[in-house]
Amino acid sequence: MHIPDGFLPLSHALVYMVVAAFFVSRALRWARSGLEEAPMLATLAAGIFAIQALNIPVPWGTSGHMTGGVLASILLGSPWAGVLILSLVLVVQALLFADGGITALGANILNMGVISSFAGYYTYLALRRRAGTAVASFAGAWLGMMLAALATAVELGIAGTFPLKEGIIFMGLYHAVIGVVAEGTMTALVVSTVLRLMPGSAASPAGRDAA
Amino acid sequence: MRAAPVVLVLLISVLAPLLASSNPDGLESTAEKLGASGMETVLHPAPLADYTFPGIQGDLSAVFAMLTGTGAVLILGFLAAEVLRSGRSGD
Repeated sequence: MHIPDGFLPLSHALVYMVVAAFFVSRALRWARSGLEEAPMLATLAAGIFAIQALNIPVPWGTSGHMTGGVLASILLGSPWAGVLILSLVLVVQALLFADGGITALGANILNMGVISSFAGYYTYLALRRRAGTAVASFAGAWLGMMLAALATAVELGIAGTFPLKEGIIFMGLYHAVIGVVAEGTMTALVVSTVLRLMPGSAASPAGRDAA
Repeated sequence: MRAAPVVLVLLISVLAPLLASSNPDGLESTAEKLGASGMETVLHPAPLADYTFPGIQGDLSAVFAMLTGTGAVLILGFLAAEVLRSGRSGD
């Protein structure tokens, strides 16, 4: 759901950049005090970049890939990790690959980094003791993707690029399915595997809570 | 840096472009349905645009582009995290 250049008027793009910059600066502050391991952050960011290239086909001739903000947040124990990692991935994608616009970078960081990570991580925290980590991470990842897709539709609706109602319907419908087959399933799979291999990690119910 | 996760990430980078669906993604499909596809512009000459490596054809081009991107994220992520953590003692 990377917004390309040309979809947002420059004035709107600038507003999203200012909002995104606020969250990125907070994420950098988190990293300065709360980040434990540089190799883990780097490997996770590279893994999320790689998995974002794996588009999975869904009905209606479309496709979608995992975005990864919720996964990063769960594995590193803070939604700021998702903000930081998605920001890095989105900057590299925009500059090197023209995947997502340069002017749309703020909106893309806001949607896939901030909104997805916070909604998904706190859903995971709320559910993990009652529902277990697999169900909680699936639900968090699905909701994170849905809210990011709906935020994208609203931004493009305000911009006049999409009619608001139709944009919400199509973006919501496609990403409800992508959220199941890509984001939810892969996040639950990776979280479950990491917990089996590293039971004491930040993702576990016994791990540290949100910063 | 432990080797196994990095090897796994490199493996995903090689396999993803070979296995990925070429269908338009959710946002592109929505833009097609709602007649907005033509509004897309590209403002700068990205060196690896469309996930292709210049001068190489076919699947190998996508694999090289992905490995370049994965390497860039890995190095930038490591450097950023090290710089941020090293500033901690000064707080």
